Amino acid sequence: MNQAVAVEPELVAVPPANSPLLEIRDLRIEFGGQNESLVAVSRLSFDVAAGESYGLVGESGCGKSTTAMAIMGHLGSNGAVAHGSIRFQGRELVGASTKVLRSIRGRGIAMVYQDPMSALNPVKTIGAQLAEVPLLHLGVSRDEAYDMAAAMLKDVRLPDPGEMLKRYPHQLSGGQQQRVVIAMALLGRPSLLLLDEPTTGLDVTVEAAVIDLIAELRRRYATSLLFISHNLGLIAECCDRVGIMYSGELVEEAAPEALFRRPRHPYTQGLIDCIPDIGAGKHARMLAAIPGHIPLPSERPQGCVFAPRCAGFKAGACDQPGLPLESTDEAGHLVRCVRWKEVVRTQTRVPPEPHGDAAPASAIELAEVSKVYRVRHRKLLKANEGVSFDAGKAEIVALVGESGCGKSTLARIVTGLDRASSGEVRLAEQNIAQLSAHERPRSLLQSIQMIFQNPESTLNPSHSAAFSIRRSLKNFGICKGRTAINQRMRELLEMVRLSPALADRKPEQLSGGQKQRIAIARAFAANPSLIIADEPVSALDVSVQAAVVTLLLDIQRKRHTTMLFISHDLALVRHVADKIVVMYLGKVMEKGTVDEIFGGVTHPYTEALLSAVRSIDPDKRPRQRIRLEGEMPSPIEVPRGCRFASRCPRKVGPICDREPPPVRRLSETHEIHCHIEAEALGSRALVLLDAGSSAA
Amino acid sequence: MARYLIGRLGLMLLTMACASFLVFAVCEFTPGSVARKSLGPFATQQQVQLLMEKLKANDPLMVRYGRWLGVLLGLIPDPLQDPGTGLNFTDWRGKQYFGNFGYSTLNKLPVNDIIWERLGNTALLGGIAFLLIIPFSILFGVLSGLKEGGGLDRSLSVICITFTSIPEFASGVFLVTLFVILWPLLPGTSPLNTDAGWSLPSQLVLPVAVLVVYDFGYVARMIRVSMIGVMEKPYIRTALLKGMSTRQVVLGHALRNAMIAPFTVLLLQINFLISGVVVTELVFAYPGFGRLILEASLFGDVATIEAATLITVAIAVTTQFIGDLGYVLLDPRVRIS
Amino acid sequence: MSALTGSPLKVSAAATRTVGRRKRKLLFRSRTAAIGFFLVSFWVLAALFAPVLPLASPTQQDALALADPTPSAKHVLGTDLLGRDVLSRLIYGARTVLTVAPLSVAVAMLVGITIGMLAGYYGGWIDLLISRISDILLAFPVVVLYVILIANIGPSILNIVIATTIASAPGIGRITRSLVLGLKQQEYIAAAKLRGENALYIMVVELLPNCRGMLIVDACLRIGYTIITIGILGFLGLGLPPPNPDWGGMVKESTTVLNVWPLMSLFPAFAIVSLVLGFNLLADGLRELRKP
Repeated sequence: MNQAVAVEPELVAVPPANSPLLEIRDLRIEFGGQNESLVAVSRLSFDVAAGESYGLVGESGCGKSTTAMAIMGHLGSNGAVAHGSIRFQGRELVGASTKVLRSIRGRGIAMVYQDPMSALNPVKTIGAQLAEVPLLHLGVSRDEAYDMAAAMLKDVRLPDPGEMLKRYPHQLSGGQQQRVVIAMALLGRPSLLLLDEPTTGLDVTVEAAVIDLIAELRRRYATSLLFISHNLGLIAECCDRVGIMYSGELVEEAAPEALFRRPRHPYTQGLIDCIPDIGAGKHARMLAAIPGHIPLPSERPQGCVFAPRCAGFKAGACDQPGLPLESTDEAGHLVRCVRWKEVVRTQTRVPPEPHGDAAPASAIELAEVSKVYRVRHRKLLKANEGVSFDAGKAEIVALVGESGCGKSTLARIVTGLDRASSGEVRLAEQNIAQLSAHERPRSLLQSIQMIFQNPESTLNPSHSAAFSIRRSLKNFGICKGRTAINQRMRELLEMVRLSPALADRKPEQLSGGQKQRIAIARAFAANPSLIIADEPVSALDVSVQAAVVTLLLDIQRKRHTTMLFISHDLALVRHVADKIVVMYLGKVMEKGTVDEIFGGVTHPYTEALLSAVRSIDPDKRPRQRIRLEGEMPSPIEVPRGCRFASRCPRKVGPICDREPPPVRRLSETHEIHCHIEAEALGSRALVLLDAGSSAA
Repeated sequence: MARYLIGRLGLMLLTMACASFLVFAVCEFTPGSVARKSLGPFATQQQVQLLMEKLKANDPLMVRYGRWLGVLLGLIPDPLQDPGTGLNFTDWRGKQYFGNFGYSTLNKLPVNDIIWERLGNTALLGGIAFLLIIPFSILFGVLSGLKEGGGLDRSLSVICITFTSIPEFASGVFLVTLFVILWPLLPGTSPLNTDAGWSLPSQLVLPVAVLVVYDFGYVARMIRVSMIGVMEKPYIRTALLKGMSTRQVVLGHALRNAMIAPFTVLLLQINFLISGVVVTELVFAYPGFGRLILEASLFGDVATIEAATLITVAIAVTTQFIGDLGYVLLDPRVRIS
Repeated sequence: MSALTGSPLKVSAAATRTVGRRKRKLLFRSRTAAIGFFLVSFWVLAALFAPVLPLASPTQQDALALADPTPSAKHVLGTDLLGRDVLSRLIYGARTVLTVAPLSVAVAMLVGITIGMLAGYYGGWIDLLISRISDILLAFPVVVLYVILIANIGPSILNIVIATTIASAPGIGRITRSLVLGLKQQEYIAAAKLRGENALYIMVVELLPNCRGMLIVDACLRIGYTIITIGILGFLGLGLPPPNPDWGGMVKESTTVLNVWPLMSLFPAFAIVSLVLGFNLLADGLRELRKP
């Protein structure tokens, strides 16, 4: 195999019109030292034309971020391009000298990163970091550079650019920081913008605004985009073409609509089926999961990488090495599957068991729960104020909101990790709001358990994976004696579909999905009547999310456990919940059944959340994007009136700022806290979702 | 801001008071030693008894401490200087003044006559050493932290670790063997006078060398760790991918971040260089502060020990304070919260 | 979000199933750790087997050697000013040093970890109190502390242990405290609270094992530093009383004749440096190994 030759290519001022801006051919990237060599990307070829937006989608381990780093020539000391070529504007980047790379970085190709807070230098001002780009590449004076920076800040819609230049990154919110990163990337007037998960970690409404901004700027500056993400819906809406990567290879490439309507590769089909559908609840459709797991680089089979998990696997055809990317019947639609013509898409839309309609008895009630912290300078931080809702037995109530809305604080209060400042949490006639965990009797602790958000920190790295399950069983007296405990622990692991052999492994040897399953087993080990799931799947891959959510719902249904499900993902919530509570800045904005919330008559904030959803299905996309201006106010200085007033697109008038909104009861279960009259809320045309799909 | 400063000042005084009391308690456990020490070993027990009564040495510990504090603050005259004791201890500054550390029973002089000069000598030594430690440690630390595990890192680290393993008396012995005995370039002792024919600067070379050798390695290692941490950070990658050269990235982005934590460490070396250099001073017969503490401790000269303690603690708390201040100045995340 | 953007190398770490067998080879993967381990073991073994080795008595004075204390066939490293065999005194001195230093550090660790754990876990006024007292103690340069203490309460093994504890515990406490502050936020701690574990259990079973790595590295460094301090005390004349062969004291006694018989001072100096270097290299190697 020929290595890329390191030559200085001639400078090509303007590439011929037909040649693509970025050409990647047969790229192979390897990591590792003398002993073990890990193939991160085995074979990758695609083009990005001038002015086009190309999306690269895949789950963890597929190599998409590694590809981005290879393009920038920044693979680290133990990574290298083993084979293949990357041509940018006709110049070969593989093996290019540092001088060439430096001339391209920031000027020809610029990058936008995933976590903007850490991508910015905390001790340098925004202005200094921005001005570095034109000073480096455009040969301007220092004053000119700062002027350009200020102008760009205006373009990215940041207020008061002059002031902003003097600020430091930690003084900005996440969304503002990302805008700065985008500004920094565009200041070099690059031809190609590389975006590596630019909105992961941002709130939904902030994400929507940033994506809109990128689209607008792209048009204005005529920049091509290479958009890397795990979020298929986001890519589908933003990109002209989409490439699906799986375990180091490109398995399918097409325009977004074609990809959704006629996915050819079984992996793409499985991925699409994994994504919760904002138009359908859990009683209409079950989330499909792709059996098996993403293979480690050392486990990759010969031939089709997806074969171990593919229902359409055929020996002799699918295990031949070197399967090519073929054209399908559509123009521009490529797939790497020998059997794409024959594979029939298994429709996994199996409706689960029907649910009972009887209103269940109340399992837990929250009444006017507030949590106030005292901070420096005698100020008060209001994390929660006057939160009230209830959950019936075996019901799933979703708490929805963005960061800072107080849902996690609420979870801590219910479980006892924190005490409420005021209000009541009634469980079986007892008010537990003021009882912290170590004050609660064993039986109470047993009845409320929690599944946490981050699989990396949910298990103690110094103990075996099942250690906490065993402790739980022991502490709550569910089993006595080693054999009984181990037996029960094995049963629990089987319940979450894990092999009992994993019990004694260390957490670092388990994948994120496996760890989260153990967390689920641990929570259910105590036989609780109430489980709080705090973003239980947001840190997992899409396909793993589907599997874990399905599992969770399954167990919850069988055991009739009440669940408080905290999430920011509305599509997931639609799929999971029976009732929804929408929170903003510590207060409840709206609550109702899932049908009511998605039914079209909602609080303006809920409308904004719904309009921010990105769906891969072109039919399910909101017809109108509601853009929220401004920033969420600080919880230390909460507005006197409606908390949402400062950003509300449907603000009635000064009354919204002055007085807290009244409660509009639209039905026995549906409440909206808004100054807009109930009729006016409903009379607004259904701009959000397609009328046909909103009905369950 | 003013409130903060006053708060720190109060804390400093509190710390000094606590430390001085602790030391007093340890030293004055057996009362009467002052009397015995003042009169010398040839005085009779009767004379010692008499003096003890005059000095009220049998009072409880707290009272004796209070008395010492009173003398220090200039509230009461020093009982040892009372002509009635017959000791002929005189202080040209007077019997009662603020900052009266009392009378050194070891040296038969007011403490103030000795301690400041000794402190000055050590400050000279420590100061020169400090001025050398700063550039050496930053150079070694930054260069090795640039690329962890690289060739430069390995060699520089070996040097640093080896040097921190060599205590002062060991390096003193090595260097003296080398430069005084084998090749007589430098003086073997540094009494800070030119009686033996060696110039003052030449007397400082070896003691400074010993201090620098021992200390810079430690600081360099701290800087190295900080540098490695910074080089791994995402914002360094951002800077590189903007098209900056490694040199530009290190000077413009990495250095400032990397020096925030070691700044305090560097300042704390001042404490060591002022009070911890007793061994070096002993090896080279240098008339310094450290040796004073040692001699006073061995003899039981309470007044000097107390004075030295107070000065040491004051310096320590001040450097801590400057360190905190530096943190605020260097790190905008702390400055603007 | 690390699951999505984790580096490929993290995946291969998960692929290793034979962690147990690897651990033993781990120590030697780092050259620094190996060299350090070798140096330390040399002295430990020498100290352990001292009584059975063919050594001269460390206390017997050989009057014949006084005229020429340089290395000879009878005394491989020469003798000191009183005619006592240097090699033997070095090895017997190692016994003292290798008993006192690790013991002192062990006690200091016990105290330091306890106060650091309490300060970090409970916070509030406990933290304030412990931190204030630690600051006061840390304000003293270590040597001054030792000198004042030992000069007044007298040199003995117990007193050295006490002095080391007072000098080192605050530093150890500070490290432990900052580790605990970070670890406290981990979700598995919350999970432990939700199953009714009490504070003591959480501190000892859930938090402490995760501090192990850093504390072991710190302990090695402190042992090295304590050996230096014991050497300094010996050099200052505050070391353990006469029959105990004291490396620092050996250096001191020989400085008077440095211009004539430099080796008499250099050998004990070398001994100290080699042992401290061993511990420092070991600490550095262990630190290297902890990185994945």
